[in-house]
Order: sequence, then structure tokens, then C-alpha cells
Amino acid sequence: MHKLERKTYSISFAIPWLLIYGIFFVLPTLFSFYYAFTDWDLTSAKFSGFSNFVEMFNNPVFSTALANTAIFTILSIILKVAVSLALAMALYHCVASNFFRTIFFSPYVLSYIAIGVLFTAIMHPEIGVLNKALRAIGLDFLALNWLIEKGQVIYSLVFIDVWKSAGFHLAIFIAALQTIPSDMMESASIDGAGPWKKFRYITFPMLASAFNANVIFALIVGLTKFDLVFVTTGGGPGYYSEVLKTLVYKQFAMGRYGLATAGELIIFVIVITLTVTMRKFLDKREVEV
Amino acid sequence: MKSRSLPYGQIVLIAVLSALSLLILVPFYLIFINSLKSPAEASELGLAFPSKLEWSNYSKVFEVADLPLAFTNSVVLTFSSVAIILISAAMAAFVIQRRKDGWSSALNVLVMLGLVVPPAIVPLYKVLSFFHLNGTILGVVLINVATRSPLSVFLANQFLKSISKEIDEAAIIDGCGKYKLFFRIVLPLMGPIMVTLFIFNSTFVWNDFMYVLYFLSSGKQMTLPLTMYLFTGQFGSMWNLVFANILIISAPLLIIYFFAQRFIIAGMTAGAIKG
Repeated sequence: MHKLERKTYSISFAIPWLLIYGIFFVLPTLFSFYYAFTDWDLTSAKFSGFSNFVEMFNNPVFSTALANTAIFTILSIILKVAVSLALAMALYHCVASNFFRTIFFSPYVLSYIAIGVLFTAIMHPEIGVLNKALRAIGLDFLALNWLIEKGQVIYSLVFIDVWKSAGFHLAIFIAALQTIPSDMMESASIDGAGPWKKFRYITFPMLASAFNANVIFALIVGLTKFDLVFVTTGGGPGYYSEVLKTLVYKQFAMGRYGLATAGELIIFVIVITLTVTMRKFLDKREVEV
Repeated sequence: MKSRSLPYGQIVLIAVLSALSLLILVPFYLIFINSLKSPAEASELGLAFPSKLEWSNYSKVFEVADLPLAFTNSVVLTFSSVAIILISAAMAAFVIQRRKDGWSSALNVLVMLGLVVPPAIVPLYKVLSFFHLNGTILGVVLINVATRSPLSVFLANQFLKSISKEIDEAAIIDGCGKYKLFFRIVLPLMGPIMVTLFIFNSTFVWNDFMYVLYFLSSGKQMTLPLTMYLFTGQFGSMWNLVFANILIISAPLLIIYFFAQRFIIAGMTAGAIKG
């Protein structure tokens, strides 16, 4: 590299970002490898070996939170990607695509506190709009106790998150669709390719990296979901909708800082492992497509 | 002039998409209409039009929920965080994208880690205490910058690929210094991606509930999402005021979004595709 280039693109440009990121992101991450192994409360931190992890794994709420996080993550990835892909294909062929895109994206700018309260009203078992609508069209059996029934609540939370985020994933698909050269589609039509063939052999392969980005994004967001659960159900009823991050917060709020750090470290390991695995799997699949 | 009618397929498509849009629009309508009802009518949680429009609900909730203070805090928190994110991310991306050596690859690895690694929030307590930033807005500003900026650096980096390096070379030959080159020439060309990043980051920071819950949950530093959470806990049965509160905390972002939304796709075309 030329000396002039090194001077022009000086490292000094990166220093403000590097400082803040280093102190408030990298440093606490490194700290967590120490504090997870301490009995840390407000005043002091004493080394305590693996005791936080033993306590965590022996806590029955932890297994509930782990299971709920798994259900939430898997279902939300599938639904967010499927719904947004279907919408993207519909918008791709629709003359009013900008109008609908604006509408579908809009819930993404709402805060989870607003959405949580809103859906508490919508999903009210007796007078909520959702159950009233379902009863009105004769689907009484679907009018459930959305946020109250213990076996139902985590699925309702998935539904709410898909409602909020589908438009975001849709925007990623639309951005990718805009990069498909139109002459590619035209020549496929001339060669006699039908809509399914065009989707299978042109559109879907061209969407591969957007698809992967959406899956990875939904994976990380799902595993670290906090706001939605905390404000909508607080992990309840009981612990039936507890997820890993809400459990960690509750331990933090009780002053069990060491235990909460251990919980964050467990989430850290899960996120890194699954993201790397998923990435490898998706990259392999992309080559095959 | 002959009017062109839409093909049959388009009409079906638009009908289906309109029906689906109701899933979004009805909840928005529900917020709006219930924010104008009397407490009794709002507690039915329905879609009916109110018998009398209670515009005073808005001023009432401002008073009861102590919104003016929270509103100011939210504005200060959001604008300072977003300003620092935008400028520091653009500068970092400039080095990462333009410079090709060990430094830029190392920085790039840090950015990639920041996209995946979940932030260690509890140990942040130690870091904030060290700088005496516990319970301060500045502390939460810095946390927001640290944890949310990697996405911005990444997207700005992708966008910079579309700005030719020849522009830099021409400017340097004309005797332009490095800072002048970046701030006067390159940064203005990054306008579209800056708007995208502005929308995304202001959405994330304005709506942030987690960091303020961890680090600002007491006293005078509260932001809108937190006051809304406390207000709902306390006055949850006053549905008209709760809905007015939702509308007040959502309106600023919805307004920004509707005016600037076309930039979202532009920014994503630059970034998300390359994954």
C-alpha cells in the first residue's frame, strides 16, 4: 500500500468508534468471563468456581426459559422468513408495491412497550378485537386465551413478534429483488419458463443471500428476545413464558450479579454456536442452489 | 385518452394485499380511536367510534404520566446516541473500506463480532461505575453507541464500495487534506445511507427499553418507554389514557418513518444483500 494512501485513510478516523466500542462492548464482554465465576453482589465479587452455573442448571425455571427460547426462536425464524418471502413475491408482482411496503413495515417502528400493551388489549379473551373477529366469522374454536393460558402464551408472543418484524424482513427481500436484472426474467420468459420455474431457478437463487441474512438476523433476535416478553407478560403467567434474557434480568434485579453474568455467558455461547453452525449450513446450501 | 384498466391478476393481488394490510391498519386504528374515548368506552377495547371525542386525553396523560420530563430525556438520549453513532460509524467505515491492510481487516473482524455477539449487560454495571456513569443518560448513550454501531459501520462500509476511490485521489492531487476529503467530499456522498442509518438507529434508541431498565430505572432520568411501562402498571385500567400514551410515544417515529421511508430500501440494497 502506498504511503500516501496510509496517510489519507488514517487510523485516526476509526479511533472514536474504537474507543467507545472497546470500552462499552469489548471490555464488558471480557469481564463476563471472570464475573460469571464469582459470587458478585452489589459490594464485592468473590471467586466461586462453577457454582453459578450449577445453580443455573439446577433451577427449574432455567429449563423452562431454555425451552421457551428454543420454541420462540425456531417458530419466529420460520414464520418471519416464510411470511416476508411470500409478501415479497406478492409485492414484486404488484403495481402498488410501494404503498403496501410502507404499511407492512410500519409496525417495525413501534416500541415493544406500545406493542405489548396494544396486544394485551387485542388479545383480551372476552372483549379483545381478535377473539371478537374470530367468533364473528365462526371460528370460535380459535378464540383462545392468548396471553393467559399457560400452554398458549409463548406462541402468542411469537405471533406478536412476527406481526412487528415481518415488514423488516420483507424490506431485505425487496432490496434483493431490486437487484435482479430484468433482462434475466425476460429471456427466461422467452425461453418458455413459467412462474414456478422462474421462482425456483432465478428469483430464489438470487434471493439466497437475503434469505440467509434474514435467517441469521431472526436467529440472533429470537435467542436474545427480551423487551417483548418482559413488557407483555413479564415471563408469566407463572414462569410459562420466561425466556433466557428475562430470567437473567430478574436475577440482576435481585442483586445476583454473578449469577446473571453466568446466564449471559450461557446465552453468549448459545448465540455464537448456533450462528456459526447456521452460517455454515446456509453457505453450503447457497452453493447447492 | 383511453383509460387503461388493471389486469385481472393485479386486482386479485391488490385485494389480497389490502385484506392483509388490515392486520396492520386495524391495530393502528384501535390505538387512535381508543385514545379519544371516555374511560368507560375505552375499557370495552372495541373499534366503535366514540360518542364524544375526548381530545383532552392527550394533555391529561402528559400530566398524569409525567411525560414532559420523559419526552425531553428521550429526545436527548436519542439525538446524542444517533449523532455519535452516525459520525463515528461513517469514519470507521471509511478506514475499513478504503484502507487495505492488517488494520482494516482487524477492524472488520471487530465489526462482524459486534453484529453477532450479544452484549454483556451485567458487567457493564462495573464499567459504568468506574466512570461514575451509573444512572446517567450519558452512560446509556455510550452503551447504545457501543452495542448498536456495528450494524451501522457494516452498512456504511457496504455503501462506500459504491463511491469510487478515484474521487479521493482527485481530491488529494488537488491538495485536499484527509479530514477535508472525508468531511467535505466523502461524507456528503454518503447521504442516502446516513438517512437509512438515522431511521434505524433512532428507532432502536427511542424504543429501547432494556438498557434504560437496567441502568436508568430510577428518578429523573426516565425515558418514554419506561414511563409508559410504569404508567401501564399503575393506571392500566384507564385504557383511554394508556392508548393516548401509546400514540404519543409512537408518533414521532411514525412521522419520521413516513417521510423518509423510501431510503430504507436504498440503504438495504447497499448493505443487507452482501450479508
